[in-house]
Amino acid sequence: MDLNLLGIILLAGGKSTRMGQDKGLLMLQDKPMVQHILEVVAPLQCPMIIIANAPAYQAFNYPVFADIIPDCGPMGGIYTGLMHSERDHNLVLACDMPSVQVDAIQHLTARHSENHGVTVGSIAGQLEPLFAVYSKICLPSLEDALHNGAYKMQDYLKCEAPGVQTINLEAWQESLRNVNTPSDLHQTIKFFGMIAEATGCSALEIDPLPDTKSLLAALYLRFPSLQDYTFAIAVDKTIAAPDQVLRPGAEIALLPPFAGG
Amino acid sequence: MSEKKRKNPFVEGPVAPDFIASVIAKHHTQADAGAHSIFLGQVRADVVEGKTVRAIEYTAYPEMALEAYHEIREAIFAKYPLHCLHVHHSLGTIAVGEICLFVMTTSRHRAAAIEACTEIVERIKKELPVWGKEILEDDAHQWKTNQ
Repeated sequence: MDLNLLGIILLAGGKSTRMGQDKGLLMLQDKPMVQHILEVVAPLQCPMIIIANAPAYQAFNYPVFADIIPDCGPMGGIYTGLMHSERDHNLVLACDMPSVQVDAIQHLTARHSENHGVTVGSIAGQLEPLFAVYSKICLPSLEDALHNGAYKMQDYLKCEAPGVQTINLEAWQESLRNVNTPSDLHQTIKFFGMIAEATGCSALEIDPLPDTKSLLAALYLRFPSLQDYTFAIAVDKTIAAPDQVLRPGAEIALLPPFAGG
Repeated sequence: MSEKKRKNPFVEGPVAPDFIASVIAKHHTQADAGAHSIFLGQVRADVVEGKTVRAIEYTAYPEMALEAYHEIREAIFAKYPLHCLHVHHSLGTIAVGEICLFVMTTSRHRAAAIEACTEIVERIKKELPVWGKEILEDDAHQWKTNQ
């Protein structure tokens, strides 16, 4: 389905016991987590609404709606979003995927059609109910499930939802990773060989940095001697491009010249 | 994504000559194999500023090395008609004279086995995130560089 026929429902949710505060408003690289997703999807120019129970979300200049039926988890949010959206088909996104990529969204939405009730992403056989397109024809079955207290989205998608289509999103596994605890946001830097010797440690946890350029600046400040060394940077086990963007939670490694064999 | 379990080329400590012999022996059932090519890397007693290397201590970034090795393995099988491929690379402290790398390729005719074996050794040295600390006779050290 063409993206311009879709609405977008951003689930900012409510209670976050693990984060100790509202998850979407948690600061990440100087802006709230939800802002990262808004910036990714805003260029798509679909009508967007936010489902949230905290008034603070009004600040993002999109319509904000509170749950029609409170305390039902993500299912209540999807139901509320579909009730309020002006579009029949809606991309539903969780606010805790700050690294989400447009091409993953396009891969999913392109496969959704008028005939589908739900097109849901799947990674390693696990459904991602909050990275999915829902049609309003889901409303009656959602309402039934909510009335019956059957709030589990996995069960709903497997048994109750009409016209469910599953799309493999394994290629985007890293970018769709949920942030569930503040430590998920930390980046890890691993040091090897003579670099580990120069820094005097084999790994560090840091608050997330946006790209390799700012990473290098931070490293040279903390370990001035690193400027005398040659090394490559790997991000999530792949050699990074110059000035590569770093996702929150990335595993970064400083690799001196290889010397195996 | 491949369902096959990824091979781990790393072994802790030196590769024992007996183990190499047993790998060769296991191939006698491969009736259509006509050639094996074997490369053995051995720790050399280099002399650094008058001091002799007595061992190399190998470390790796294992998670990345496994992915890099998997890619090399897939590329080699796609390029050469090999029956099988064995790679064993040591980690930890390997003394002078001990084997730290064992590569064996098996094919129907010699050219594929020999060329594949050479290419794998070159790629291992160039692409696997592995480092060697050369321990000198007085326990000082320097970092190994690949030529």
